Amino acid sequence: MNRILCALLFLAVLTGHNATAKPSWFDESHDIFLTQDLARQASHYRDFPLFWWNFIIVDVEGDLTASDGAGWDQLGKICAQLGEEEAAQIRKLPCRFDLKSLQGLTRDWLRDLPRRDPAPGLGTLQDRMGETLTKASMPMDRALIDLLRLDPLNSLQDLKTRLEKRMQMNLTLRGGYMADLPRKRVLLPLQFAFSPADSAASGAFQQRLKARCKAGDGCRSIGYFGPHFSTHENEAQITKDVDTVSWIGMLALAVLVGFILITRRHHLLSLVPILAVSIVATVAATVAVFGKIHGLTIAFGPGLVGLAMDYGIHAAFLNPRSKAMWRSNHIGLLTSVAIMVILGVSRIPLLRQLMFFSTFGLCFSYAAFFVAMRWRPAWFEAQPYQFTPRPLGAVNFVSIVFLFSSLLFFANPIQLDVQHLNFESKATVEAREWFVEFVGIKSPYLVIEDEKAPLEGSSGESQWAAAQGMAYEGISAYLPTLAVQDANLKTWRQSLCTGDRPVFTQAQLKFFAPFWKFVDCDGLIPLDPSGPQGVPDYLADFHHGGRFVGLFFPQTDAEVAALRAHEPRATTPREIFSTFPRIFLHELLWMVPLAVILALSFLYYYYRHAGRAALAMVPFFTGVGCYALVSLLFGLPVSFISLVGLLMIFGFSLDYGVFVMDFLIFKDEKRSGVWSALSFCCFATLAGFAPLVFARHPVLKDLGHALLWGSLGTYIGSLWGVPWVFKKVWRV
Amino acid sequence: MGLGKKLAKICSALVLPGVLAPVFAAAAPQVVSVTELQKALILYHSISRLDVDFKQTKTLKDMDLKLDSDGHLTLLLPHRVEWKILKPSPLDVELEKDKITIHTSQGKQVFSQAENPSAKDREGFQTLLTWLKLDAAEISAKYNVTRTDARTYRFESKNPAEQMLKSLQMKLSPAGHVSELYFDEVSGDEVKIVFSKPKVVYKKAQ
Repeated sequence: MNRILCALLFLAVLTGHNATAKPSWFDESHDIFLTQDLARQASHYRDFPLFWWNFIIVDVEGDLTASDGAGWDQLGKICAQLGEEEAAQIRKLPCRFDLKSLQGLTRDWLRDLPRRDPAPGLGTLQDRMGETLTKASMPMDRALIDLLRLDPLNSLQDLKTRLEKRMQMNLTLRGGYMADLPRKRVLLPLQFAFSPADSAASGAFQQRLKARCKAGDGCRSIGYFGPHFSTHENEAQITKDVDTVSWIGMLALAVLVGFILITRRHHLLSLVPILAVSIVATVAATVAVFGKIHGLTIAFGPGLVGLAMDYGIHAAFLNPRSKAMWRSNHIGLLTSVAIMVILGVSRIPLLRQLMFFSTFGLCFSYAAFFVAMRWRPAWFEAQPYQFTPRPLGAVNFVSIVFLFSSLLFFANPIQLDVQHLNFESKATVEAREWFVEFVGIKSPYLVIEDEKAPLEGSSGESQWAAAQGMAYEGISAYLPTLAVQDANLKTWRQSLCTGDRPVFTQAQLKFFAPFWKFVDCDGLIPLDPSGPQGVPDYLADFHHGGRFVGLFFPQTDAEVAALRAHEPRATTPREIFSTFPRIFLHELLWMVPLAVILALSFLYYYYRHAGRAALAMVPFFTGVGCYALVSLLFGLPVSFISLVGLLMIFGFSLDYGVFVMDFLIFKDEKRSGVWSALSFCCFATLAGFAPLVFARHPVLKDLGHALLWGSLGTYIGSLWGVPWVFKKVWRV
Repeated sequence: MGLGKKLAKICSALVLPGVLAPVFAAAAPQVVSVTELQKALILYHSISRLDVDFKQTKTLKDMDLKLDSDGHLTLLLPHRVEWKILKPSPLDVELEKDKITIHTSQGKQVFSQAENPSAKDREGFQTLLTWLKLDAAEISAKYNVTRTDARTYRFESKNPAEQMLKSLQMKLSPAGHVSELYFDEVSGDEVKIVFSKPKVVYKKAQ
């Protein structure tokens, strides 16, 4: 029941995630997974609009190769409608790379021509103006005329070329669209106007997109790819899974409560409000210490705090007045707290917070149980069930197999790739595989440019990358360094502002009036994007909070190595987030042995006997063994989430070992309630967490498998393994 | 940039005068029937080549600005048009079947229907083909054609969503050649093209 309650709290937190307004003390950032430095790096992928690009994959009904262009008509309609109707949600949707739709960008680009390029010779300028006026003399719509007035030197073509290069994809544009003609599939780049963290907005957009495709002509199906859609897909799947799991959990809870009431053990329910109050107090204490509490702490923490229920149930079934029973509980508590305290010194903020929560909560609730049960034992005591595990040869054998198969845990490689924890539906997998095959893009390496001189920094990176034959994308690709700008502007001043000023015709002066403003002598000063003049629109994607980002595109391992040597800070999002499980694993490599040694020390202090202390740990190893065996047999992945599950197993399996050992050693028939207590706790755990294995999201599934098989192995080890070994070794 | 469509419309308008030579006597605006249009067009089915000089003036009203240019038009029926602006700056536009090529001092730009998935741009190509084929039925289907005086025709698109041209007027010389074209744009800008020195080559008899 303890686990069910905690599981329900966990599920309530997750399901309520999107439904309720988030209080200020609630934290859901990804930064908590990472060390301070890595969290800062990871935030770049959330903050810089450059990473807000996603891709819509449209399968069109029409034939894109048909000469009547019907397929393109349908696509153009879909894209245009999307841009108009979702204008508030979309920052950029360049249908056919039509620059006219990016007015702010083109205006800033044209304005900065004299900073970007040296002045053309007067003759060239006159020629280009003449050509532009000639073009303008033809019948054409006014928008095009207005564009010609701004751009006598046709620098928009230059911008178009540079923007296409920015995409860094191995694809060809078909009339402005990125198309896979044989598959009748088109890729539409889309930049949202909000961060990927706003999953609700992404989800709503996706629903509208689906509806539009269903209702509109020409759209056979629609797919999505990118950070916004991925974030939403993961959250949506967790919510869906949690809905299912919580429903089953509620059912299991109802059955358990019904069983308690029917068998007249309703005193056990008196423990529930104490645990609930303890958890609330623990949340408050965590917020007081950390300022905020992360959703994952609320999700997993109560499960660990819920271990206290084991002590309460143990006391209720044995005798709340018994000092010997409380001694068992004390030692069980010490062993559980030992690993939590050790894990609490982790470098990972999430673990530190989670372990504070667990330690505080466990101690607080244990203390509350102790005081309450000692004060009013009659309110809590329950008659044990008439159940004693009979020695069964086969089950004894199984427990021994589990004990030894715990060594197999190391035979199963631990999944450290964060991609494993990324849920993708079949459609998304298909879209991603097509994207990688068709577009051939690799994850770029990110660097933050020198904050004091971003243009110079970017220019240096660009030159280095060019020398390596590596693609690089940064602000210097669009705006030169201040020194180069100054040199360029000097040529414009010399051409237009000094000595005998050139004479232009009235037509040139009138028609190109907007252009003349750009090259006005008073305004010919360099633009520092980190200065007070502000960031031009065409650099906005690279900018956030006064910093600028640059991207390298190494294609081979050798290029990656060269980049690392040149710029050790360069990293990819995948690398950043992979750091969390790696740090976690490396820490576990010394923390778990230390925790085991510490727990053994407590047990040795308690039993004054090394063998008995070791035997109390058998349930933990049978739990690990059962999980390892099942994982190997059924090919279940073991991820760092599975390790979190095993930590929970570690917490309660030692308690079980102590309770059983005390029963066996002290030969106290009054302690026979231990079997009822263990069975009750274990079935509650199984009922609470077993439904997680039916979840589709890998995080929940991995956790569910670790807890299900770990709990089962622990139970078998506690009820059959420990007594069997005890009898064999001590001939009792 | 939509330039292909614009040029297609321009060229189609330029082809039109080369083939609509008959002189009509009516002075008041009068709806021109398909049959009447067909009659006029049948005569010019015999043309294989037309050469004509032109002077073009675009008036940008809000700027109080007139842009003048001079050039030469060559029409090679049924599928090729060469529109050469000679002054103030050279600019050549060639239109052949479904492809438009623009030559400037910076190089050439090619706009092809096959390569251009924009419905708007393709509409321009279709307009051009309609005029190149001199299909009176198609022209009448797309335009309301009226005669405003003895030698002046007015074409108004039947498409209410037309974004560029409000109307197109064509004036014929007494000899039957187009002497003036007038574009009234939706933006309020106007383009007037005056043609001179027409040279016609007729198809050889089969």
